[in-house]
Amino acid sequence: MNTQASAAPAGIVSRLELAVRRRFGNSASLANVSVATLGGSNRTLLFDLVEGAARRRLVFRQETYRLAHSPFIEPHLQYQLLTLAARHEVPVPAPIFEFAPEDELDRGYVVACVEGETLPRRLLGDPRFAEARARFPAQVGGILARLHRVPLGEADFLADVPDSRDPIAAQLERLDYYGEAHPAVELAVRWLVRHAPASRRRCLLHGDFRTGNLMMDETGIRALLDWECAHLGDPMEEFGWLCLRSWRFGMLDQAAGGFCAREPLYAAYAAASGEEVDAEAVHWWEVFGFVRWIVLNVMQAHGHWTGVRRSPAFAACGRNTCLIEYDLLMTLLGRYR
Amino acid sequence: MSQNLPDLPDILREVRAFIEAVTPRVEEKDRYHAMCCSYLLAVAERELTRGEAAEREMQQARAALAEVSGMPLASDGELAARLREGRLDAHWDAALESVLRQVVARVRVSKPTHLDPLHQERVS
Repeated sequence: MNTQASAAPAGIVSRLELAVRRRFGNSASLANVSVATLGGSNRTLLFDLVEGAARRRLVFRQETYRLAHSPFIEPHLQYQLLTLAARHEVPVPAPIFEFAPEDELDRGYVVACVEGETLPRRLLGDPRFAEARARFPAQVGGILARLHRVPLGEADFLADVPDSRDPIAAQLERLDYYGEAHPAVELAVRWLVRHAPASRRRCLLHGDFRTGNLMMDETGIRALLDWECAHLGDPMEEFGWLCLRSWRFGMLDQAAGGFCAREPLYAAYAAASGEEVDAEAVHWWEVFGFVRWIVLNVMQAHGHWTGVRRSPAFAACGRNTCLIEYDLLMTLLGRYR
Repeated sequence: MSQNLPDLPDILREVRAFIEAVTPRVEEKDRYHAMCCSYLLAVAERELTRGEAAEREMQQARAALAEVSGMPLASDGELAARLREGRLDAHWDAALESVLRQVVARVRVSKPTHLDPLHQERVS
């Protein structure tokens, strides 16, 4: 993770220190505060919690993007999810505490820092991660099997999330809000409506399970990050998203996030969960995934040109939507797999 | 002859070349944004030199679908609306071809190397 040692806002750091003392006693303090520069919807700080001779590296996440039709679930639900996932042995950064009104830190929480690498090019190319790559299908199969087995009743706080209710309608509502016309999206939505797979199991989904959101070391996946898009839905959606061409980072024949082909991943999931992966349904969710990824890029560009949060990266998102549209149409034509 | 030399594409090219040259020396926290800046300048250069051709291609692609379907499709908005209503379902192949032509025209401005060899322009 890229970090910047110098620019942690002083007001936030002092309020965070007070929040930490409320929970860990007046002798607790912060050290080595740095700002993580990546992340679309949160301010993220890393810091050491110092308690006597003991030190723990922790992560502060504070919501920065809150508009109508946000695709991100609120921090309180994210925190509940982390707690739930940890309880079911899904690897996540351990939840430490949530902000309370008296902390004056708005909405967010603190979790344990998991050290490792998230940068796709390094994970997919560096010889140092060869063993992690070899373990990828079995490990992902096992993790997703555990996640998808979480009893729905324990995750029903996500039932009203738009993506849980009607995933296609959720994307179109957002697109209409951003005010852009995208014929490629509309064409794909017509295809989705006319080819909808039979309804399957309904599960808790991470919702953004992909290369880039996996914290890994030389032995494999250490934690699933970024739970802002979690919702309830068809478990095949998770595979469609992971296999999206956009997450292969140049390893185009390795459909599963650039790490491996589809087959070993599907076999590992079936072995761990007892549920077969329906390749046709995954294809449908892949087409849906392109639609969703386009709408997310339109959102980032909208945030830029409306002035809500400007940056060169968000500006580039606007001009990248046509690249995703191209991959989508080539997939619909059967030229890309 | 114009007195406004260098011209706009040349200016953008020069600024981009400079940003690309210094990017490796930029602090790590700013490097990704620096790369995005040169990417955006390259888009702007291409839009200046090829934007009109891309716009023409998009209009022609919509016009071809309008002719096949018998519906006026003068803008992206109109095309998107007819697609959402399902009124182009009966012309699926033509609609797919038209939308692909328009998207290819856009990609040629944004990032032509993203295109499959099938859609790459031959350099004469």
